[in-house]
Amino acid sequence: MYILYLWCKHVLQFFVAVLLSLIRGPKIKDKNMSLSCTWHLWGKSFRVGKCLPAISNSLRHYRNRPTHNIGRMHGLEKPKPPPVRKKEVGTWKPEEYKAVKENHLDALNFIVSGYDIVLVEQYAKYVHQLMIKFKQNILEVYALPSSNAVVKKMLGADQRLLKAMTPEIELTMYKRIIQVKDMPSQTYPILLQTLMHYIPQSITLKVDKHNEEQHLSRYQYRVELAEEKAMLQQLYDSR
Amino acid sequence: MATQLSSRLFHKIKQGGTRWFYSYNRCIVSDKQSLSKHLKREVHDIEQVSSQCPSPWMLQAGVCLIRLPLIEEDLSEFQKRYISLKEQMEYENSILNEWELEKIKQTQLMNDIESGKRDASEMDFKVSKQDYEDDYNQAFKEFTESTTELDLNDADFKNINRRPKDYLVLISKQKLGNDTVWMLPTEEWQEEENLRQSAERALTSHCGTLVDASFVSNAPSGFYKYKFPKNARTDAYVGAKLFIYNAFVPRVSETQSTATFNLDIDLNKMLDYAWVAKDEMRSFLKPKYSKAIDEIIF
Repeated sequence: MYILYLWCKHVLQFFVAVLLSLIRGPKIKDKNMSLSCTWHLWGKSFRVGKCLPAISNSLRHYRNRPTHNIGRMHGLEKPKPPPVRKKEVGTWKPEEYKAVKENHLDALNFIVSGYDIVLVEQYAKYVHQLMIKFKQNILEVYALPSSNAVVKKMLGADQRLLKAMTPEIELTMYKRIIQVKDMPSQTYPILLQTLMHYIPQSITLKVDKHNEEQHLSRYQYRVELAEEKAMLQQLYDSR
Repeated sequence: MATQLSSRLFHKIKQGGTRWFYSYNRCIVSDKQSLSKHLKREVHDIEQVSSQCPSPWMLQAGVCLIRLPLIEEDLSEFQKRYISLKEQMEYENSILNEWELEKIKQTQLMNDIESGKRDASEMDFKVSKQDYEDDYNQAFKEFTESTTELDLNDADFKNINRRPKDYLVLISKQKLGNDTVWMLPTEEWQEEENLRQSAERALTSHCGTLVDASFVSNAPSGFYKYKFPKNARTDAYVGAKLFIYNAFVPRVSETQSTATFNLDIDLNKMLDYAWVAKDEMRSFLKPKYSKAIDEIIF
């Protein structure tokens, strides 16, 4: 009877210990413990067997086993799921890209020439205003010296020279230049075509690249300089 | 750090066998390279894409050869009235100039000499200003403008100088399948070629190499898309996209008012041609096609 009483008492205490361990949690003495732990209760320590895997210790490190450090994410970024591509509702915006590098043309000369000075000046003014409106980099607007063309009338047999008329007629050709630099190559054809369509009768428009020659043609002929150069050349040749 | 760990882990797992391969995969995803895989853009190589799924549109380049007007347009009624009014106002507000004052003096002098008030020795001129003016007026009457020498045969569509006041466009009759269609000279785009080069090729192949034409830009000025008739549609092509380039017949010289057009027709391609003004285009071309060209020329 007494032995039965003792056995019952121990079993009861055992179950109470288990219950309390569930409430409190285990007290770990050392890391190298096997899958069992000691539970302290009222000064007595009860050893819970391997039949309770639900309360197993997950913080033990089995360093001699190959499974050591598996699942360890210390210092590493966690793998993120791929970002969800949302469909943007609304208007489609095309990707911005530059197909070709922007091309700017060198200095261009727009030369307006004709015999009627009024028309020449009016059209040159129109060209200049168009460049201003399109915000182009206008370097210079100037007039080239006018050139005279002498027309001699050859009279037929039945024609007679009129009393007052002279057989020679002088026609002066007037020229105006508008110099534009760094025109983008896309706007050049547009501007050129508008100019071609609005040109008046008897006017010529010519577009050239700016040369050294054209620059020098603006300057007058230097008489003294030319003479001195000729003298120097003579001295050089005589040696 | 990540690579070191991964190598260590790999060795560990080697010892343990292949059982842990699954877990190995699961933990070593932390490399920055693998992360960027998810965020990388899907960059398509254009050639790859075009070879895989080519576009069903044939690319063509066409030439719109324009002859600019030779004479100015007629003024409208309003313009004429305004100009006459302006001239009248200017004349009324103006002051006599030197020539006219001289002329008045001379005529007065002549009249006085004839009537006897003054002596004949006071005449200081040989030819009076009035005589000059009379001669000028007569010369003006005798003068003919070079534009009246134009062969103004408006009915002949092949004459480049017809309708000198309008913009003319060259259109040609070509074979499209079994039908003959009036359209601009066009050529299919070939690879390793600009669109502009194919447009120039279209002009030379249809009209010959002697034709003078100046192209204005590398970019096309017009666009027209059309589908082939169902008989002509193949697996490759549903229709064609036509890019129209502007070209201008150049002015030969400052003095000559007519334009020249040296044609060397390739009769296989161009059965017939015509220089056509804006209002006449509708009778030759399809309405949408003529609309596409309308937008290019003024």
